[in-house]
Amino acid sequence: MNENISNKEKMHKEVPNFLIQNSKNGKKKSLVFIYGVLILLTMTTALIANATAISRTVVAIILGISAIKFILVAFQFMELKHANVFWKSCLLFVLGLLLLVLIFS
Amino acid sequence: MWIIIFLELITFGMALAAVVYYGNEQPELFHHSRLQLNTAFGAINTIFLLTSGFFMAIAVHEFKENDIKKSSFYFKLTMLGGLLFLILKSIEYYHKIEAGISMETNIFFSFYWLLTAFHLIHVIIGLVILAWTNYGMTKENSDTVVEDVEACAAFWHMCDLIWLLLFPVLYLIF
Repeated sequence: MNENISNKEKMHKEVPNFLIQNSKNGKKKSLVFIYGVLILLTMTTALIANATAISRTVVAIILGISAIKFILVAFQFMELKHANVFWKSCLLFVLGLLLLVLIFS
Repeated sequence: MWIIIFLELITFGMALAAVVYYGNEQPELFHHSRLQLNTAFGAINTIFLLTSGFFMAIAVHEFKENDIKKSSFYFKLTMLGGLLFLILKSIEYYHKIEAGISMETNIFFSFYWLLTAFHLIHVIIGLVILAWTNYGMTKENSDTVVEDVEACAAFWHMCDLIWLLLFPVLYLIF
C-alpha cells in the first residue's frame, strides 16, 4: 500500500516536470520562430526599398511589414500579450493611427 | 512602465509624422538625402537590435525558470547586441561627419541626427539598466525579482520598437 502511494506520488512529480520541460522548450521554440520571421521581414523590406522605385504602394508595403514586426516584438518578445487589454488596445491604436498618418499624409 | 513606453512611442511617432509631412513638401530633397544614408548599415543595425531583443526575451524566460546563470548569460548576449548597434551607429556617424553632413545640411538630416541620436541615448540608458540589473541579479543575496527583470526588458524592447519605426521612415521610404 505504502509502495503504491509512493509510486503514485512519484508519477505525479514526474508528469508535471515532463510537461513543464515541454512547455519551456515550446516557449523557446516559439521565440526562435518569431526571431526568424523578424529577420526575414527586415531583409524583405530592405530588398524591396532598394530594388523598386518608391511609390505610395511600396511605402504602404514597407510600413505594413514594419507594423507586423512592431506587433511581433511588442506581443511576443515584450510579452504585451499578457498585459491588460487596455494596453494592448492602446498600442494597436497608436500604431494604426501612426500608419494612417505616414501612409496617407 | 507601459505609460513611459507609450509616451516615448507617441513622441517619436509625432516626430516621424513631421518627417513625412516635410518629405511630402520637399520630395526631391528628401529622396536625394535618403540616398546618402547607408541602407545596409540600417538593416544590419535592425538585425542587431532584433537579435538583442530575442536574447532579452530568452533571458526573462530563464529568470522566470529560476536559472539565474543562464539568464545572466543571455543578458550579456543582449548587451553585446546593443554594443554592436552602438559601434555600427558610431561608424555611420563618422562617415556622415567625414562627408560634411551635419544637422545644418538640410531638414532631412536635421531629423536624421535628432531622431537617431535621441534613440541612441535610449540605447545607452538601456545598456546601463541591463548591466545594473544583471549585476543585481547575480550578486549574493540578490533581491532582484521578476518584475525588475521584466521592467528592464520592457525598456530594452521599447528601444527595439522605436528603431523599427525609425528604420523604414528614415532609410527606406523616400
